[in-house]
Amino acid sequence: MLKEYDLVVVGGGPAGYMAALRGALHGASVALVESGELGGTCLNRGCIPTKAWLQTAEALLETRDWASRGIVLDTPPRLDMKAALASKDRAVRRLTGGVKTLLDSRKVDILRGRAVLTGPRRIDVEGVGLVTTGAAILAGGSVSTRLPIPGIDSKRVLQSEDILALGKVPESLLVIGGGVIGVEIAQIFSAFGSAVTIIELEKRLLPAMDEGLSTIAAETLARRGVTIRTGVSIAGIEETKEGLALLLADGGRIEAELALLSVGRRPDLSCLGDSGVKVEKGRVVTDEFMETNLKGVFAPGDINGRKMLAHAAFAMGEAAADSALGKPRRAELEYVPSVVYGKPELASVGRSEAEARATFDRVELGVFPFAANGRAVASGDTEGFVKIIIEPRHGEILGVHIAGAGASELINEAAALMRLEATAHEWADTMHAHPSRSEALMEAAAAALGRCLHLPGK
Amino acid sequence: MREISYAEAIREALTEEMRRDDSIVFLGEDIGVYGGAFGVSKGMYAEFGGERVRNTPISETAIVGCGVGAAMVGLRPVVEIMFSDFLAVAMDQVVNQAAKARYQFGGQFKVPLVIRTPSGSGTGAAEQHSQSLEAWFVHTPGIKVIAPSTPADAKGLLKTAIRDDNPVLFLEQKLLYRVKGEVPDGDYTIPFGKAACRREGRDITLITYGRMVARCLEAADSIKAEGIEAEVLDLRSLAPMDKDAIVSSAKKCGRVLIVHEACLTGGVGAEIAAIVADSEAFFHLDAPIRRCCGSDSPVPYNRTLEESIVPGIPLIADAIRSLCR
Amino acid sequence: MASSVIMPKAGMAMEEGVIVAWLKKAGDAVVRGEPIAEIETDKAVMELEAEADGVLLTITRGVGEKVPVTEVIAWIGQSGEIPPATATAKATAKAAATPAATKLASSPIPATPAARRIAGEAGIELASLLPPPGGVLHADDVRRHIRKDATPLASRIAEAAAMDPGAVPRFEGRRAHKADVEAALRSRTPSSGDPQATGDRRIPLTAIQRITGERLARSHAEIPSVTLFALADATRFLAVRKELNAEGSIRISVNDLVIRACAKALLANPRANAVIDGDGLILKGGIHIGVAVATDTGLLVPTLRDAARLSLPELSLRVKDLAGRARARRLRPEELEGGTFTISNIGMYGGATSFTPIINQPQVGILGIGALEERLFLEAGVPVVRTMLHLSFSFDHRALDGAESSSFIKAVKDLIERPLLILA
Repeated sequence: MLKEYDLVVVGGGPAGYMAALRGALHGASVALVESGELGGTCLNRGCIPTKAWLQTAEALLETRDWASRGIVLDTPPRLDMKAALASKDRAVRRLTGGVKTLLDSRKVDILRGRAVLTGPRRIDVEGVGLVTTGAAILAGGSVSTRLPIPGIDSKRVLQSEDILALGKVPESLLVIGGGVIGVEIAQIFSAFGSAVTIIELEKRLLPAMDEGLSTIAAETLARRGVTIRTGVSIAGIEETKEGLALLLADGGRIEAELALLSVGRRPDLSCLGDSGVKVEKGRVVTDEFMETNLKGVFAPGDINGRKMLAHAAFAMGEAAADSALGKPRRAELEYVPSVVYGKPELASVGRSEAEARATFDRVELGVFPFAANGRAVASGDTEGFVKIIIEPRHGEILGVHIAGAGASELINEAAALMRLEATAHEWADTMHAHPSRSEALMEAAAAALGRCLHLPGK
Repeated sequence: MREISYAEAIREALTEEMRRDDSIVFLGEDIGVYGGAFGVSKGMYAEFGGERVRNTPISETAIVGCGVGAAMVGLRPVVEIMFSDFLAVAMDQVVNQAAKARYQFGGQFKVPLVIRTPSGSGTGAAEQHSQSLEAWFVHTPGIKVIAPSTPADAKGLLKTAIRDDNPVLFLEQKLLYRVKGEVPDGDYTIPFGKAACRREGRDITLITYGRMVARCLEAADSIKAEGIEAEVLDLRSLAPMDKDAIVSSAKKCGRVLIVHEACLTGGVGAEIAAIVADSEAFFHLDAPIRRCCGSDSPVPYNRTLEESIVPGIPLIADAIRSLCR
Repeated sequence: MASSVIMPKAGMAMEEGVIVAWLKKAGDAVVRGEPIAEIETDKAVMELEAEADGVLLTITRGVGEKVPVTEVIAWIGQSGEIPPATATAKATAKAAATPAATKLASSPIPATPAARRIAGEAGIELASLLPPPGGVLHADDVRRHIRKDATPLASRIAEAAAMDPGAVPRFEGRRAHKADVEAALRSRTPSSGDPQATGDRRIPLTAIQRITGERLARSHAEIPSVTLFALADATRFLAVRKELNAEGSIRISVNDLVIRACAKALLANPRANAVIDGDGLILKGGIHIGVAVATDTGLLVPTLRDAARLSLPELSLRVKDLAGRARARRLRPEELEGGTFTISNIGMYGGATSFTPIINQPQVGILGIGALEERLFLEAGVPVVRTMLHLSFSFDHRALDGAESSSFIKAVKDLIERPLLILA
């Protein structure tokens, strides 16, 4: 069955479905091909399920503070893993259903099956050809990276997609990789009751984030009984009677029931086929308009490896659709926030302190702890801080790093202001509702300018 | 550098010049043994004698006329008219003779005459002894008009006046006689036609001269706290006037307030405003050119009323505010 | 008071005319009675005469436009006069529009002269600004409006650099960002379009570059310079060098050997080792050769003193030392003076084969070392490959004539072709 479309989108994840919706908005005829569930990794195996379970984990953690707030439980709450799993699945289904509704509303044809680019204007779906007279958008997404070490194929070594389908809480869990996913999963299972150990190759957890955030993450996890081993590399994995053992390069050995492999993700290039799309270091090469070396073929989202985050994928998907339909649009990836969910939430946008100091001669910091914030104190959650890095000449905002409840919301105020090139001056003078945790942003901006009145004078 | 009064500075200028040049003679009412109505010529009669420091009858026409004649035949007279108001009596000699002779005689005669005269109000001397009449003479081609505001300026400008081969009207504000100030040592002159910036500013320029200079400086200081930086330009030379300084100050600040004690209508301020309006400064004006001047009224005898007809510091500050909003 | 030029009603039935040509342009002086335009009426093409003396201030309707009779097509007035708001012309053009709109457009917008000037420079129509409470537009109102067209950060950068409000780049549909203002500041020209398009980047010259530049310009302008070119067979020369380097502990470069050859050649040709002095020539007693060294801040020429008296190893070490210290900016001032001759090597960069070096005043000559090039020759009927070294000698023709200059470069060439003599 050969059909002609203005635009064919391969992959129904964030980049893909946004590209499809955007193309349809412009009045193009659009087909979206998905071999699995709509919503991609984010909805089905990543962001959403982890957030759902993190919510359960945080709720459990919170109950431990209730006594001090005057709420007494005669029997402590316990986790019903099956119910937790079911609730997570409900959330996922609701959202994937929502994506379908959106696509249907814009008359996007949804085709099921594996798609491969077989020519500049031709896509095969499970052997059946489709013709595009317009453009192709390959939003193939990404998969977990596998470490090439002996024993990695053990069934006891889970990827993030597997671990989120577990029906039973393991006694012990080894998290290989202390990046965002590792830290989030560690928090979930630690709260659920597993004995968790994180193994990280670099010298600190969350090595890609500002050092202040790594520190607070490590402190909080340690307080909750998570063991953290940094600067450690793994030589091999062995299965044991009860589970498995990690063989460390320094000769050490750590045993646990299960392991999670969370050392990163790499682009899934399977939809490229033999089409000749240029790939470098395992990533599809695109320009800032998301176009590949083949004219009319675009590759937004994780598949190009630029910024492997769902919100960046949304922006890249939209840019790809516009560019594909003749209105070239840059994907703006200058102010991409990144978040580590959990307790406390961690969020960043812009440069880390180290990066700022490496690039600019003069840098000033403004740090405001939530312990000095009215709302935080009133609600009893004072963990964390806001750190704003500025270039003092004009007050240019170079980077914002937040640790604390609601960081994932607060960071968006920072991203908006940075994108609009507001400076710390405007930020410090923008009235914020009192009491709110957001006030900490305004105060940190004032602190960077040396004029924060809600901190003791020097 | 020494600190001396405005009156002493004038005396020093006169004395030093008379010592330097025999042809300089000094005429006026009560300037001899009495030492002058305001004490300016104290001690000069003793030094130079009655030939060169001559008391005159109360006849302004004769005083000025004698000065004109003496100047035309080779002397360099300095005449004192006891109150500038009485220039009115000598008008023909000032305007039709002194200011015209060189022109009328085709340059064959020059009139190196200096007419010194106490000017302005504030001493309770009432309407016929308190006027500021500089506008009449700025409007008369052929005579220069000088109005110093400090002792240092008074000395330097008077020397220039005496050495000038043209008639110069030298206006001395009565209340400034007692004001002390730093005066450089030695012989020095200050050129005509050059204003002095007394205070650098940015938001507004106060163009002024004479007694009002000090008031403008005080008003500028008082308004500093409101974030307004006022420039104060002391013209000190009214004819010739430093048009370049006026225009560049106006251009720099974009707002102009002209302050003088002489009454508003037809005053020198109107001339300054016209200069600004028809210059490149016009395109930088961010407010109307405003004058804060004396009331159009004879000077009252009552001291309170006398004070009220002349711009006070609060009034000047208000005018600044009104332009800077 | 400006006077209007209107589309004349040249006939009772004429409703509109077409402007065929403007004979004068805005800014031209016009005299009463002078033809300033050609108008096509319903009957014929006629000349339109100026009704007043003055300057054609503005033309409000252009060639080819159909204009109803009595409508204004231009203004004549005094130079520098501003004709009544062009809004008036527009208002009459939109005569069909609501009368209220016409009234509004024709009344001038109260704005201070400074506000008008800033708006004019930035290309903003005052009418596009909302009048503030109080009714008069001030300079700051216009500046604030301009600043809205730039992000807060970009505005601050522009203000900190005392940038003219009119020079802040303005774009259709977006605000000026930090990158735009920085680009405008670098190019230092008021930008009226996308600065990214020019791609220009201004790099200030270093002090050394500036001073060297001035000296080069002066040398080039003042000296009647002639350059001779020669090719020296360097086959044996290179072989000798190879042998020297195989044995010795110091690495002798091609440059070192040529410098030594040059020093010997100067001994035999003292006129080339001289300095112009008014109407005389000073034949210098010592041979001090300046060796040109390229550094990252510019060209430096440290002097190798008594070049003819140094042994080859000594010479090589000294040249290395001078070059190294030149690059590290650690030369003593006296080391940059006192040269009597200069050598410059372009061959080492690849690319060029030879060049015309510029004489280092007040010297009279400079030797340029070019590329090494393999060439095919026939020797007794047998093809052989020889490696040739390109040489060039620029000299001051006031000091040396053709014969003298040829003698010098021949001396250098000979030494290169008989390299053992360089070592002697």
